[in-house]
Amino acid sequence: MKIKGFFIVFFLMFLGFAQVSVFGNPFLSNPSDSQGFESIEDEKDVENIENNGKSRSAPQIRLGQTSEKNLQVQRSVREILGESFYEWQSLHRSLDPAEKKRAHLIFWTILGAAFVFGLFHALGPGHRKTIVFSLYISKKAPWWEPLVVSLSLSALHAGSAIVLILLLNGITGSISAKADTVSKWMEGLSYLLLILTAIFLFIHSLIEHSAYIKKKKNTENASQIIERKHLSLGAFIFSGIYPCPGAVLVLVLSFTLQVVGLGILSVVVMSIGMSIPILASAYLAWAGRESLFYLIKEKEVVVENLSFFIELFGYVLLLAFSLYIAWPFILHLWG
Amino acid sequence: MKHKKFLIGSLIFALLFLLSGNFLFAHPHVALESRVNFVFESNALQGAYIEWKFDHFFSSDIIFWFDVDRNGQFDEKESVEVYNNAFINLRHYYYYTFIRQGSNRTNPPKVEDFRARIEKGQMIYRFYIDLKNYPKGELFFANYDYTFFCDISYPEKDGVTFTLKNSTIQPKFSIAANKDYPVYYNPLGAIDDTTVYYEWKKGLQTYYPMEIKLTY
Repeated sequence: MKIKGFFIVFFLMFLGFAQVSVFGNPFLSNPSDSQGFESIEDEKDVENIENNGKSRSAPQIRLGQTSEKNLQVQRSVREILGESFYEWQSLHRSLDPAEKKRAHLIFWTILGAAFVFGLFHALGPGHRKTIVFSLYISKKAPWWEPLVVSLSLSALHAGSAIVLILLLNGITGSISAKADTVSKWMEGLSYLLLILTAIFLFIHSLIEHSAYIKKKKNTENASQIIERKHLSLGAFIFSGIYPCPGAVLVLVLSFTLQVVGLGILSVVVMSIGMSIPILASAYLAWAGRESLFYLIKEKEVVVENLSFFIELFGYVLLLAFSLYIAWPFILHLWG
Repeated sequence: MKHKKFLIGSLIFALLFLLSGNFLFAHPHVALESRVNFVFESNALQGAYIEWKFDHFFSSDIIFWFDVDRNGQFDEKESVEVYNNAFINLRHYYYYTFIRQGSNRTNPPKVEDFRARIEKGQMIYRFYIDLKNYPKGELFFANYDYTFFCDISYPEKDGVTFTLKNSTIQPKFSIAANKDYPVYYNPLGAIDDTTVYYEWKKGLQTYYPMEIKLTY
């Protein structure tokens, strides 16, 4: 109940912020910025110069150039998805059997395209691939755990987009711009949470390991040594709660076409697609770790030390990656 | 033996993933197709009409916002609202338009004749850029977003066209990535960091824009 309340407060805080904050979309003007504006009366005389000024916008995490091939796929899938939504909207209420059949075909096209869009979208940044990789390099886990964590992360990522769009329903102006602003803040803050988590886990591991060594020295019977505990996954899973920009796009389209149900269903399918790259990196790390320890399982001392160092390495990787990605966001908050 | 090979393979893949840095990709939020119509008069380049066709997603959001009468088209008043609210902020981003002659690189100080319209649920912007003052010869024209928010592509069919008024010249074009004159961007910059760098400095990353090479 407490957690539910916290989520609601968290979202409402950002929604309130989206109302007063400036936009994260370069196309959209800030309400206070009137330079270069036209009115019908003087539109011929307008001087929309001063293009090297600075517009204010929401802080964001680090970006980089995408491969052209990935862009091409995303471009064509987006086009198929967009066109199919329009066609389905015009056909799905038809009583004509041929049109009904066509609507049925388009329905499955939408779900298929949503799956592919999710898959390629998650190859981009901010979908927790490196986070789960760091996690399963550093900790021993049962085979099913990477599956549960990866599915939870992608479900939360898409689910928070659904909640956000439903909450933005009825607000005037650009829905995507407001959703973008909220997403950028939540994504930045989620990386700050990961930075703090990595620092905490690193220190915790050091303390726990030294206590374990001490205990081992004082205990003659090896069977009496207590196994080192592992921390809960709460912080990692919690960091997945920020709206997916790809899901927001699909939901905005479905919202404006008044086919919200189909939009939500598409986002659910999209999240299954998104979970594949996350699952792949989680199991890559899990299998890599398992393989390494299987190959050296006979050497107990090496296993013990290596296990500790790999754990630390995983947390350092998590810290370094989160810092690297969040650095522009941190700089923005700082200054 | 097979089992061992598989395990070593898993380990190698995990290491490769770690070293690949695949997390550096961005996913643009808006996609648009840019068509350019170069206008010549009396054998001299006058300017270019640019047409941007947006993806259904961004289109639907802006249409929902500004097609107030819900007739599926922007009238003149609605088009002005689109200009004021969903276009003119691009002056901070050089209108995503970059012009080069040799090593001389410029951006249009303004755009003219802006008009927004809707075709089959997709929003289209059309505007004019004055190119009268550019000396005759080779001109490189490009639309791109070095902040990676927007994915801009040129359509394969009719991406570049010419309007020839009282002209006998036969202009030609080709589209290619500019490897000799890249632009640089600051990966640490926030989305409002609109600075474009033409010379590399420490910490900057390289972007190779797709340019239209116009010869006349």
